[in-house]
Amino acid sequence: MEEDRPTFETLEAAFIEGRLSRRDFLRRSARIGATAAAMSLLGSLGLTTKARAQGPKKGGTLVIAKESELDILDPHSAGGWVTWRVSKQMHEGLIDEDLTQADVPYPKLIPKLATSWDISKDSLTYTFKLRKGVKFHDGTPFDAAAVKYNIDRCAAKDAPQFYPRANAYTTWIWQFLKEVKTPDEGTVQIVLREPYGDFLRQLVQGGGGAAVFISPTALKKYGNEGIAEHPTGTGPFRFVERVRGEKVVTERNPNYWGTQPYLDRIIDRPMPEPAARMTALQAGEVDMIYVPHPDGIADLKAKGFKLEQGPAPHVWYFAFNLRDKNYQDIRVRRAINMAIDREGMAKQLLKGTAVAARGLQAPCCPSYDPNFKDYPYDPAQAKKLMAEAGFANGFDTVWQTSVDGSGQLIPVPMAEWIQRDLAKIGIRMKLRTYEWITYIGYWIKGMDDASNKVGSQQMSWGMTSDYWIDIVTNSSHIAPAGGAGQNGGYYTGADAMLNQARGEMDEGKRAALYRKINQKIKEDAPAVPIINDLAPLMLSPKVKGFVHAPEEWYDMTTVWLG
Amino acid sequence: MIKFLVYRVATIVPVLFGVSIVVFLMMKLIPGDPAEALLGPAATTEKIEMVRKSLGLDQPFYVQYFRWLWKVLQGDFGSSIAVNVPVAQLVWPKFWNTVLLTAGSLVICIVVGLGVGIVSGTRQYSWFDRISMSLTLIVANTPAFWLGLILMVVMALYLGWFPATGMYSMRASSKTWGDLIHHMVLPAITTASVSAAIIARLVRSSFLDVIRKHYITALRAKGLSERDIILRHGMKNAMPPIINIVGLQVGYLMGGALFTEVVFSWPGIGLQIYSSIVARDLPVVQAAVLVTTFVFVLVNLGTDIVVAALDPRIRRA
Amino acid sequence: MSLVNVPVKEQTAGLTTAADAAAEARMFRRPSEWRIFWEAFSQDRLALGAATLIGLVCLASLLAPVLSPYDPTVGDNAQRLAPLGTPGHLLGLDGQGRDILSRLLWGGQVSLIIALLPVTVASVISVILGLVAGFFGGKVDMLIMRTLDVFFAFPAVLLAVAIAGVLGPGMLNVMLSITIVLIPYISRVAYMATVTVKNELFVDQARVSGARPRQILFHHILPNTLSPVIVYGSTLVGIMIVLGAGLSFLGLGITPPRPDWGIMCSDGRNFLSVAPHVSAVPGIMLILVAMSFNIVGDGLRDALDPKLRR
Repeated sequence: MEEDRPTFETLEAAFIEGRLSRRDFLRRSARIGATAAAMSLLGSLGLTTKARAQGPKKGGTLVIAKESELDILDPHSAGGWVTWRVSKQMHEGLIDEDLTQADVPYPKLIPKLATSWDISKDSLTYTFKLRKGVKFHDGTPFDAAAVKYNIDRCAAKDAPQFYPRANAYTTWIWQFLKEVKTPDEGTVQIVLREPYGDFLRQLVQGGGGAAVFISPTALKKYGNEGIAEHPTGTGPFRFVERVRGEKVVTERNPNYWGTQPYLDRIIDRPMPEPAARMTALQAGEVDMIYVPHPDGIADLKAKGFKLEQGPAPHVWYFAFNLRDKNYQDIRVRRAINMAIDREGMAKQLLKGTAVAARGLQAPCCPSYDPNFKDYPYDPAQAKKLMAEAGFANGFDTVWQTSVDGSGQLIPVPMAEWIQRDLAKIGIRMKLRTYEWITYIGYWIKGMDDASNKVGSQQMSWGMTSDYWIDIVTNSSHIAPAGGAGQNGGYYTGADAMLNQARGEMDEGKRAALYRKINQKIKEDAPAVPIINDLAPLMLSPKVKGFVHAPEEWYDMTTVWLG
Repeated sequence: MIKFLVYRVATIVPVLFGVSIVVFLMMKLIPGDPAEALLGPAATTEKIEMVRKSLGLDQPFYVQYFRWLWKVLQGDFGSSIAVNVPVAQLVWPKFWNTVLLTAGSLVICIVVGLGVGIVSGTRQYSWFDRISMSLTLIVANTPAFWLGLILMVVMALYLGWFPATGMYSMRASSKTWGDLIHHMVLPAITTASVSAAIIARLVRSSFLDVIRKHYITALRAKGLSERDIILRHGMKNAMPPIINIVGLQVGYLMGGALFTEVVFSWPGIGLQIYSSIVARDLPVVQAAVLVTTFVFVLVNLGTDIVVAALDPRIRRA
Repeated sequence: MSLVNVPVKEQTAGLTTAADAAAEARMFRRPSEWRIFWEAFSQDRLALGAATLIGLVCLASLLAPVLSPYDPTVGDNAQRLAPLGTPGHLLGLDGQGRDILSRLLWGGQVSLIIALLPVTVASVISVILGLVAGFFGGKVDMLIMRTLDVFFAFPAVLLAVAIAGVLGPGMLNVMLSITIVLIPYISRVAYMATVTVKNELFVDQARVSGARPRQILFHHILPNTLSPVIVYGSTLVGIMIVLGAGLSFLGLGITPPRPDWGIMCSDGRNFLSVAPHVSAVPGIMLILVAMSFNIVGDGLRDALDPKLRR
């Protein structure tokens, strides 16, 4: 670029010839005082965006600090919100959630790679009409064969591309799959073995393996293991590079079929230490951070950074070991539910980055009732119940949690808070802690395994799908029979209702059933829900257009830097 | 000299063998099953068995060891459990990042250590001597992670003179030396601090020791200038123990850099070891510890040889 | 952190040389030297001061249940992050509203124990190993020392982090990890002392024949091995206090809610710019105590070394 003094004419010529980006054109015009002329030129070329004074601008690199390193970028075979937040920008499925709306109770389902769908009368066949003209990042056309190829990878045991790991991670999505039919290249029929009311909602989940599509060409080329190094989807962003422990770089997909994102690039930096993340934000080295430490938020806000938080499908809870004789009396379990000061924890310990949980069902799903009446905080009543149950002098017990982990917030101080509350009603709780991945190993075993006998163990997660409560409380999901020991306590009280709700296809009826289930679970108290995280994150003032949707991941196409 | 060389090199082999066994065993002691951890909530007993088989975890110990060792000798450190890439791909770039940091720290160490040590040693009891000896005593006992935090708060957040995290600026389109050095200053100072203090004290006392020797008095009597005495005779005799200690400090720098890397998020092997330990990613921890120790052993060998070359007395020991 | 002795006074540093060990061995042959040692040590005002500081800190930590004004695990959220000098809280409050002074006192128990105990246990084991290897020589010597060489090959910090990481958090695991790391270093000191004394005594024995070698050797070697180990050990305690805190800082140390100085530093990371005292205070404590052990170690060596007596 010429550094000698330009005139507006030379700038204009350079811009029109493509030697100057629009941003630079504006900037340099401003410098020579020709902004008005520049703006009108842009306007006449249709290159200004109409809107308010500071319209979204294209361009820029957003640097995000995440709370842990990402798993592999194979969307079928990886778990965790941290990874999905990135994978989701690159891969799409038949349908999606509308994440551009923040003030709705739960996200609406919208078409994505399927333009329309309908469900057969027997509720077993879902027919999707596929969008035309969509290409994967490597140019492969998207069609019904690609859909079948991907689903077979996750669910068809005898398919050559079947991948056990993908199968393990996408269990709940495809658990009732019978077959996938491709009558023509623009239509896919997914046939289930039994009615699965929440199937569509499960299709848009991403906390475990996701029902999105990878280019079959890429899968064949790189293989089931190698594909993680070359993520190839249809999404608005495409993969650039990854340096483990340092960054994942994605850039705008110029051939995207939908609305182009504003950002040129997104760089995700894993920075496991909350203090390091906040320091980096303060120093301007990153633009956005996840999971700021509650204590540091006020300080950052005072320095001009924005806090974004809102309802999210997340509940932090302890499940009881129903084989432990201390917890077999329902009065004890109810007493515990009444003894814990959830509001206090949310306000004082978590500084308002979370709210007290009401009932076990996580927020942001159709059946969630914000007016649900859970147990009140009543230590006196709790003590009475304990006495009635014969535990006037309390008992000793061991609870366990992790020291960190995805969605775990600050588990140890939280557990210590509970420890103190329980002490007041006579329960002397000893806390056992493990680092996250070790902890998951124990959690899976269930609380009655010989290597893991505890009175209660903690977990936190959730989904925008009502079916989540089934995963957590249905006794069929207990180890070692199959699936994880989420419940771990052999609670069967809700099984019948859960199985019925699962097959209910009418949304309204289904939501009502799940609400009843939530009520039953509250009464039976197999667990004690504590907190709903509000998924706080902090942004630099120059980050605009970010929508904190009621989900655990976000749509980055609306974000721009100003 | 050759005999000494051969002898020293020969003793390394069993040591390295032993190191590999220790590293291998160490990782086997980790509680928690990597297969379970890998599958997470979706695990069932049959899936766990499948994954264990695919990771080769169903074989007896010694079989696993020799398999592992054979691969290692070919440069294949296996695949990272957590992130599914060859460990070598993960470890080597991080290793070089730590080498860079260690090099920077070593420079500071030697310059500051030698400088302060020599000046103090030659001006015993002066105000410089007293202040530097007090300071070095304090710094030598300062936790590196604490110093790093203080430097970060003051120099990066408060004054904004240096970046607070990382090795390069994320937004820059290319990596430049200037950017790297700018990012390296605070971490290098943090890593070098304890060693620089120790070296300064050592240099000083070596100097005093040497200076007190009679033959230096004799040299003075002969009329040699102070400078000559210091530079030629003093240094030459003080060098062997100093080099010895510097060599040992390199080992500390590589290990101690771990704290610095965690505090400043410097993407080096220390940070990698730490995150892999937290993530229970055995192959990565194994490889990282092995590589770092291997290099440490070689560096020690190098310093031993250099010292022996300078001081004939050692060779005969 | 270096496990090499850091001298305070003018003295060639490094692992105890054979000559020094021999000098110390010679000295201890006459019991009345103990008195000479004590006089020399007490004249060293710096070392005496440091020893007093250590004594006070240990005492205060031991009496934490009595002295601590508040429960170190209970927080008063209304006064979170209160600065130094807040009425009722001399050293302020941390992020969870817990009194820092109380946590410092209680934390001292942990921070001191995870340094003192491993050094002591490692010293005992090392003296035994060094004695056996040095005394019996030959194959036993080779077996023991070569095995220790393997552990010597690891950078100490790395080994400590790796072992602590492998074993998992918990006080016992941290101490075990530190003990393992220390054994090669202390063993080498004990071994060299044993070998030197053994050689000297055999030379003497050759002249004065008739006495039973074993008993005399144990009577003389053991005490002469002990003294360099004690000197080295006392400096090591200071270094291990810092290393132990480092392991806690990384989350590889004790499990909460027990405080220790390392965890306190780590806790304060989230509010460095608003409330630096939360991290700064335990850090300063670490520096003071580590420094004191360092000074005492050097004082011990100076007092034990006849060469330096003025």
